[in-house]
Amino acid sequence: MSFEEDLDRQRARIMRAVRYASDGWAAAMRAHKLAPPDAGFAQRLRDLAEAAMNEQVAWEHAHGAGLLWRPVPGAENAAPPYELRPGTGRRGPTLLWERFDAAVAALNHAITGSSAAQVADAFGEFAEVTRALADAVAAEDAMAEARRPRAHGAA
Amino acid sequence: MSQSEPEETYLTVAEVAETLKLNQQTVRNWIDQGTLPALRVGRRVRIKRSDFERILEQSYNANRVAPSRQAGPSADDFWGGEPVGVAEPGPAPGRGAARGSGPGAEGGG
Repeated sequence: MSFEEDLDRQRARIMRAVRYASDGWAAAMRAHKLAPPDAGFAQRLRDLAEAAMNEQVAWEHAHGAGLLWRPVPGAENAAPPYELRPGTGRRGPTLLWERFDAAVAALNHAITGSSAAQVADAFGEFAEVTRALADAVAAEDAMAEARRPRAHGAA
Repeated sequence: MSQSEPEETYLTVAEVAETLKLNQQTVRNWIDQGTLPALRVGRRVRIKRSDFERILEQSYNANRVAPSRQAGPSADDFWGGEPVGVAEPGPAPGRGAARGSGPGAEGGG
């Protein structure tokens, strides 16, 4: 196999991984977009964090293969789904949400450019803070559940 | 929770329906489908004014940006659940560069 054929195979494999990661990211976004208020919020955050992590890995490989992210114009001020925006009563630590908002801004900035490495880094930070938020919200849910009076089963 | 959230006001199904000159059942269908988030308190349903205004805004924006969407995915698509990113070959020097003009892979959110 020639060098060029090997390069083509490698790129094709990476492009499939990118497409797979994209499907996961899009599904996670739709889950947030269409969600009823609050129900399953922690799990949606967890799924989103995993989708972002898969994006990070895919775009790191893309960068390693010399591939670029095709710029998305006008992304600088784009907003995530409603329940992830500031001012919507988001549950969880304020400091983490501030870090999340910064990660959104960084991701918006990255996707206006073409650097796959920068996109990967932005997805990585987004994944990390979203996972931390998922853990924090899940802990809140668990505490609320523990405090809830048990109506059944006492007899 | 953020401690500086603006105070939220709520609308009834009837108020939303009246504002849009629609049947109340249409609004209830949106709520059941998850298109319009709502708070249920017993049998009563309340809609955040901000949710309602957002739906209106999105609806207007969807109509306004429709032509440009044909030219390619946007940032709204990126955060809206549509595939946006495309991996494409960079301007690599040497032997691989010339072949890099083929279509990229759609992906990346």
